[in-house]
Amino acid sequence: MSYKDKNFRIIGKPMPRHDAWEKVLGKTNYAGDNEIPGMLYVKALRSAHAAAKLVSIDTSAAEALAGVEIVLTAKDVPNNETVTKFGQTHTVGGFEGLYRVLADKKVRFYGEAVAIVAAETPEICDEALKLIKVEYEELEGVFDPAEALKPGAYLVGEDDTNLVCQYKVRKGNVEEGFAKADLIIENTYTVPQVDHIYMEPECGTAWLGEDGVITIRASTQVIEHFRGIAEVLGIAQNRVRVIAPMVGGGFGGKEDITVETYLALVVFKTGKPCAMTWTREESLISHGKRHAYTMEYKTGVTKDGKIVAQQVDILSDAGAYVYLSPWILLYSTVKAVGPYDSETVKVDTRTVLTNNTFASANRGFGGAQVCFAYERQMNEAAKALGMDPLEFRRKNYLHKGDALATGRVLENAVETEATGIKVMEMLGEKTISDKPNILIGQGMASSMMSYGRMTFLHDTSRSYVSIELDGSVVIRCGVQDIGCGQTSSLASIAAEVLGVDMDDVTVYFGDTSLTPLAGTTTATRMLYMSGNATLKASKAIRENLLTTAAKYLEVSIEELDLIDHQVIVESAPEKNMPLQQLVKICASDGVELFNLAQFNAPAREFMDFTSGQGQVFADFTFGSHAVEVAVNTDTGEAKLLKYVSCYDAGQAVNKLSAEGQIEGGAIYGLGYGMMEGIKYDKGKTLNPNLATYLIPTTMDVPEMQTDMIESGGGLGPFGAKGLGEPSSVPSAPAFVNAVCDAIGAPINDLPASPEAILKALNNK
Amino acid sequence: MSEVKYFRPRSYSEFTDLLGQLPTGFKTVAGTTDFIPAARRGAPYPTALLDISKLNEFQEIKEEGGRILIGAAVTMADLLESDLIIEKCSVLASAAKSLGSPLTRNRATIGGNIANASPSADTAPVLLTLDADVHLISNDGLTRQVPLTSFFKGYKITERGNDEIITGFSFTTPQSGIWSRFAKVGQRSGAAISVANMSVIIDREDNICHDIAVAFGAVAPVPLRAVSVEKAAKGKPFDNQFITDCCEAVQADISPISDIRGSADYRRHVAANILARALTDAFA
Ligand SMILES: Cc1cc2nc3c(=O)[nH]c(=O)nc-3n(C[C@H](O)[C@H](O)[C@H](O)COP(=O)(O)OP(=O)(O)OC[C@H]3O[C@@H](n4cnc5c(N)ncnc54)[C@H](O)[C@@H]3O)c2cc1C
Repeated sequence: MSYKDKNFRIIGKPMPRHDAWEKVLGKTNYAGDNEIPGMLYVKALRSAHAAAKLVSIDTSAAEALAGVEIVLTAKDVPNNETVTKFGQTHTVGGFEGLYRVLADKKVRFYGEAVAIVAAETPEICDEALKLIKVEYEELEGVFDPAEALKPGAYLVGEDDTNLVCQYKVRKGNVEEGFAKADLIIENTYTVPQVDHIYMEPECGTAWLGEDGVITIRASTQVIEHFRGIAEVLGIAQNRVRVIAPMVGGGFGGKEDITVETYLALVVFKTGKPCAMTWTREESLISHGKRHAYTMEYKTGVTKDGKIVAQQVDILSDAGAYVYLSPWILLYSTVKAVGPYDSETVKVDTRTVLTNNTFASANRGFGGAQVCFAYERQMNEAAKALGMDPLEFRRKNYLHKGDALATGRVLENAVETEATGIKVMEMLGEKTISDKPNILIGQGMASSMMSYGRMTFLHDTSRSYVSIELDGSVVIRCGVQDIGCGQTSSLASIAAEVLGVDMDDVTVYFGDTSLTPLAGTTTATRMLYMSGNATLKASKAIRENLLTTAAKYLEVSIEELDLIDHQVIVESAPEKNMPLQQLVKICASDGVELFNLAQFNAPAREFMDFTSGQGQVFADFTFGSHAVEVAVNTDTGEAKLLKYVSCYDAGQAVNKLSAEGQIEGGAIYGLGYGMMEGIKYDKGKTLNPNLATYLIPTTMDVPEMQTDMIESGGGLGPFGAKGLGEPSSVPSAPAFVNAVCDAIGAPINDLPASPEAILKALNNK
Repeated sequence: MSEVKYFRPRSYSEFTDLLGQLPTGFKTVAGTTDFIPAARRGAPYPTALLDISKLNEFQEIKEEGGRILIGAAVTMADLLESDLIIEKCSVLASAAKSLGSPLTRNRATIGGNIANASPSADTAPVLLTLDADVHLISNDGLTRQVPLTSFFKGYKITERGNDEIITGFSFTTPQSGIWSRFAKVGQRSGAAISVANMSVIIDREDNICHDIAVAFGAVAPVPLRAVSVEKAAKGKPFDNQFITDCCEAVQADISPISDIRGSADYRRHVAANILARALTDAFA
């Protein structure tokens, strides 16, 4: 078993994570665990209105309070108006979303930060916040994206329209497609805004070094925001350092800047260390949500079950600031009809500003909304045709070599059909109800979800690997580990290639001044990008080691391998040599025992926005979920009896971590299907805590069954695809399809809460 | 923040010695599972806290002279593990088991659940159907017992005076052979606050409903006995008409509102449905 013969020792095996024990024992030092002597506490004053003119802010009483160090408002921020950028090397104009560090002139959403206070204790902060006098002049605001598009609508920002952007995709003539159809299925689907609910809220500390560099140690998915922070402060990028320790969950919610600029501002103005931790309520009302969509789908099918026309219209609520809305909408646009073929396709999408809390990245990045719609639509079409849902899907699944509606040919592995067949097999025969008030239903959903960033961003990652004199291995890579095992995967890769154990590898991560920049932990890109960079660096060291060994042992390099801390000579085992000895030889010969490698993702230019034709994504992960539910007709409660999922993981780097991702993703998506949703009254969040904003508990999910196909056909290391986002995308439609099967009535709005299910039953 | 005095008596005698010293505006706390979230939401702090969670006598569950006595500081975890409760009053154990999560149940007390007087309090309908008495003591040492049926006065308003402390509850041990059920409708399976809950205790023979007690929570400003249902059911034979009558009657007993957890309409539907299901099962 070795890397050389592709019969891996570590890759693909169920390995405990290298950081598992520390976490289980509570020893991991998260961003909020840091205390610095003399640090100030920072809190934000948040707007009490969703739409208002900021007439005046009087901070004098707050500043006069004993223990208050500083109070900052928009006028104190060197560059208060800024745009979200993600450290990409390639400039992409229209895609950068404006936001303000602190509200200025006009408040755009309830909970927007208006001022920040830094004081000696959190209690003094609270007192000071109460002493800030803000004069608001309430404005009418607009809260519904359809209303926001009407002429004369209230304008959320300073532009003369609320429309942020729109896209279209055209394949053939959809009217001709509908003319060929025997049946046309038309439905409108709605999905609400949802939150990420990471266990660790937004938090961090910051300080000023002797060297004048401002360091921010925060819970973030993007350490490369150091550039944006420097821009806000008006200082050079090399004067700001960001450290991301282990993150207690991200799910896209820590892709945008959260506490970092506030902390940096306080250090910049006072020179003193400081800390900021948001409460759950703050987190719920003021950081980006998953976009609420209204999706109109019209699907034409022939009697024998072929899709001949798909017409999709999507209206997305961007909320109060642009942030990542245009990117997310583009994801939805490209994936609008899912992993299915259709002779003709017409997709139109728009995203619009409103005075709701802004929306931005959330696991799936526009993929989850459309999957709910296209997978409900698949079931409704199958039902209209009197066809089995899997059989109908099998007539329409895309395969390797087929083209998406955007014209892009799928040149890598496409195993959607295999995963669909597998999950229905795993689900088995439908359970028979033994109670008059219990209805049993089964449902499935398949999905396609990209991994890796959009190709026009010209994404790159870097990783540094070195081998120490005792044969132990060090990786330095600027990844953010958000709990999915990002660093552990890198350790597995280096250990496999260099013939050592995972325990022999130390990974230094997430520090802009010490670890080579690896890009964001978003877009299911970390294994793909940094895994490839680490593989490249490890291979270079392996090459150096084996070249030296071949010379020293006078054998050909083809005969050598590295296994279990040994250099193996296949033809002459008596010549085997401990790795440590070889390392010493290399060191004295001046052979490089380190390598800094960069991996460049395949890059493309922009797609053609007039037709939607072009390549936006490098590759996709395909998979399916299937669910069996028992619906209580007295209450509408839907209990999950079985939950199965299957993915083409390409190659699982760590079997246990991959399964963990698939199970966790399924539960994350189930919340979307069953119970989650921000509720608003004119922009004011009505459920800003975990007593009213519900997510699934262990009591809500059954033992899960997961399976994996390992096609080896991905672009990641060893042919891996990505699982982080894909694993969560099909849960909601699989669940709702099962409920609809049980009750014999459609549900097209999320969440399918007990109340919604009972209503659907009663309206039948 | 002004200073809050804190008292934690460990025995009944320590407790009675303390009573006279409690400043006006004191508040009793036990598991603090309602108190802390309320304080975080901005509820004003009292002048002093009387923590009864470690008071031995208030943690007892016992049967004396045909009555079951439950101390105010008995937790949900205690209730659902008590052999006496499981054997003689399983309906209370099932309400206790439905409350919150294991973490909450280890702290949440029955005294706190009733004193807090949330319309959705899960032990309230059960204690109502058991005809329980609330035992109170005031800080001048005077004790009294109030039937729970006249304890809840309005939304989060009770018969308990500001200076009164709940010491426990008592009720006649249910006869063996009765049929009972606690039903709870929540928005999810674990750690859910009731959108509607119900306790039913029926004394039936063959097809006749001799006696019945029904109570609901979360469908009115207070947990309440469904007197119209009881009237419609008592002495009647079980048949389809019986179910129809009871389900009609329940609409007169309840007055639900729409809130973040559910609409009034949904509450009306499920109240009738869970009642019909219980009655059907009771006579099955
Ligand atoms: C996560 C979570 C889940 C929950 N789930 C549920 C649920 O499913 N069902 C449910 O019914 N409740 C639920 N609750 C609410 C709470 O746990 C219960 O109401 C619990 O029984 C309260 O008991 P306690 O001992 O914690 O009360 P405390 O918080 O200590 O007190 C509550 C109130 O009662 C007063 N009080 C307490 N004891 C006495 C006494 N002996 N005499 C006079 N006044 C007193 C206090 O002053 C306070 O106003 C939940 C709470 C949490 C945090």
